[in-house]
Amino acid sequence: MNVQQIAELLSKASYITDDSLSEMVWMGLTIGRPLLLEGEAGVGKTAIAQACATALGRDLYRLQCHESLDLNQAVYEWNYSRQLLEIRLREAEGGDKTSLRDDLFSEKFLLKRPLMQAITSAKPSVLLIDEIDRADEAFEAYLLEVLGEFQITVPELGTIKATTRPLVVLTSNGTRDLSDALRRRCLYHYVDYPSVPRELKIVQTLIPDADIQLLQQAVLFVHQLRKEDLDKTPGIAETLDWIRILCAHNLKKLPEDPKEFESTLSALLKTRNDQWQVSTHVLSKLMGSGQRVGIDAGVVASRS
Amino acid sequence: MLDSPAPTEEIRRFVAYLRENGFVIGLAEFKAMVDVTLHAQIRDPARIQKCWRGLASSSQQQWHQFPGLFEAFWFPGKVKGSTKASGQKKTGKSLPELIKELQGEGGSTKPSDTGKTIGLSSEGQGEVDGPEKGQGGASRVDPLTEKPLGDWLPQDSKQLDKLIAPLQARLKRKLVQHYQNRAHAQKLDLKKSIRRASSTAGELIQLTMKDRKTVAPKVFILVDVSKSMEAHAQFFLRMARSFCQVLNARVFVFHTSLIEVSALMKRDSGRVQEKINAVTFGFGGGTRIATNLLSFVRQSGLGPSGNRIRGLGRRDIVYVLSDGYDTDPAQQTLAAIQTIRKKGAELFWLHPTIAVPQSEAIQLSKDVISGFMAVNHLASLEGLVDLSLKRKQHPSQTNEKQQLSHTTEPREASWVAS
Repeated sequence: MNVQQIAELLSKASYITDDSLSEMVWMGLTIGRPLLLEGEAGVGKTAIAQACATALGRDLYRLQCHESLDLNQAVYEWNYSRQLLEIRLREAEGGDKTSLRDDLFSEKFLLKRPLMQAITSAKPSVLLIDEIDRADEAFEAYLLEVLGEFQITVPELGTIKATTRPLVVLTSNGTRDLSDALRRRCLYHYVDYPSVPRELKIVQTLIPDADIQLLQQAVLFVHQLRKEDLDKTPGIAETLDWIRILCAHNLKKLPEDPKEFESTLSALLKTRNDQWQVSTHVLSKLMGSGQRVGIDAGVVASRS
Repeated sequence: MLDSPAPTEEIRRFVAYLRENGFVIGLAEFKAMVDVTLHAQIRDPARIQKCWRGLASSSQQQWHQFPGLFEAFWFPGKVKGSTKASGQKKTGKSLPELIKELQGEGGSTKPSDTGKTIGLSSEGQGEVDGPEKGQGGASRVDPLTEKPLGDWLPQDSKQLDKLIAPLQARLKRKLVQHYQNRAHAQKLDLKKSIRRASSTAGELIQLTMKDRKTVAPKVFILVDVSKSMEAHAQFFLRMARSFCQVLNARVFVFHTSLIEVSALMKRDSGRVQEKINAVTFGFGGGTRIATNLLSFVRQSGLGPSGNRIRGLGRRDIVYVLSDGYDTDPAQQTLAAIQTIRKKGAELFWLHPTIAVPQSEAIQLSKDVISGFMAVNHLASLEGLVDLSLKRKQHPSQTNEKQQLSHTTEPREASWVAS
């Protein structure tokens, strides 16, 4: 499978990627290294894993990291209640108890969590480790074995090696610095906000019913808005939400008067400061600057 | 795979060049770079750049830096200007030539033919050794520690971070509210207890308790940006920014009114610096310390969206960066400081003057202020950690009730650092 094919498959899975990102996915599949995606929230880091799973026809195992994440939630846990039940049953039956010790710690009593599921999967899968920066350093250290060797050691069972290597995607919002050891085991990609043509293609793919003029104007407006010094810069997800709201208002293009769509901006501006900062005056300025903008893909948006 | 020494040697030099520019690249990454080039039979330098970028970069900064370094190393002719990239000269073959050679007809490169021509000349190799040194052992290191505040540049602020960082490690964490009034309270960890019970055939004999949760004391910085502080406010704001970024402190600026600027401080960009400068410029008016301290107590309990949060509390630290000149009545300032201290917080006064501020308000409130420190150059900040912790190590000195009821009684200010 080459890079173009990957880009096409991802496109069919409704993920419009750029050359650099599809190259990275190709490399991840080719040399079997995990992908570490960093970037602002809402730029499509998580979506790439979901799209890869859909595009490649693989199962997706998702591990959502948080502060108190431990190995029991991420890797495996013994099913204690079932083990106790088994002990009581054997006692009640009065049968042979010699094999009990071995039986209790067999795979039958093992509750597989996402990492274990991905490693033991018979078919190649996609493993998404989302927001790794939210997990603590101890968990990050544990991941080194999993990501480096694709194996998990269970003391009672021994080392379980992956039969097929999953495509591992780690995402991070940069709330904490990840260790060099983890970074070194991964292919790094910084997911930036998309260019105007790419974002236009994304919204066209995901909201095919919307008027093209509205899409062009909305995308250009969001790009202008991103240049403002906001607490939370709107990502692609916000752009999509906003356009869906505009479509719900049956708009074919952005109104001339910013006041007419000011109420819909809550889809783009997510903090009180940002809402206060983007006043009607700023909106007018943003609308004006996007009046006629040439885009390298040949798209010309006009606010006529 | 790596049996063709000459081209891999060239890649090795590129890796060395990257390392000199701060990239952390081990043998595994180096091998992967060669592998990926061979595996895919990539001939297009643009594609190689994309592939190697992901392998070599490990941060956003390196991600953005890589294309420039790649161009500078492999296509030095394309790079405009006179950029000098950390000492290495590229005199070998261009990347397309190297790729051709690396992949060349099943990897049958003749090392002996190319070994001398590819790579650095002996002159170039000589230049790789060590950083540029001054003659006669001369140093270019700026005596930053003694630099007056007015001469500080924004980039010097990194020095501040290093001084403030130890405070974070040394501040004793406090129990969360739930445990504060229940010194011996513990919560049962049912999950772990049941797991442990498996070793006693399911009987809950040994109970496991949860660790008692602690939080770091909150740090608040109040920066005076009135007219009298015009010369110092910019530095103090940079200092506040370091506190904000290193200790996650909340920063307020005040003159006749008070405003929180924590969100601005957390963003690291030139535009933010402009805003900070604008804030100091725009705020150059009178000072109302008492009013603003009371306003601070109220605002500390409000979150960024105006929502109620846990504000100033026990063992929190408030640093006031001011010269102490106040237009409010001195008694009012004393009352405001007492309000803060009654909440169990420590209040330290950092002043730009060498001596403790002589204003009436400060002289009257001296006994209820936890400590004073003159901050006029970097070296003077070295005592900040000790000043902040010294008070905490002597609980007898922090007995607020005792202090507040005997405010008229002058106290030995042995802890005053000036």
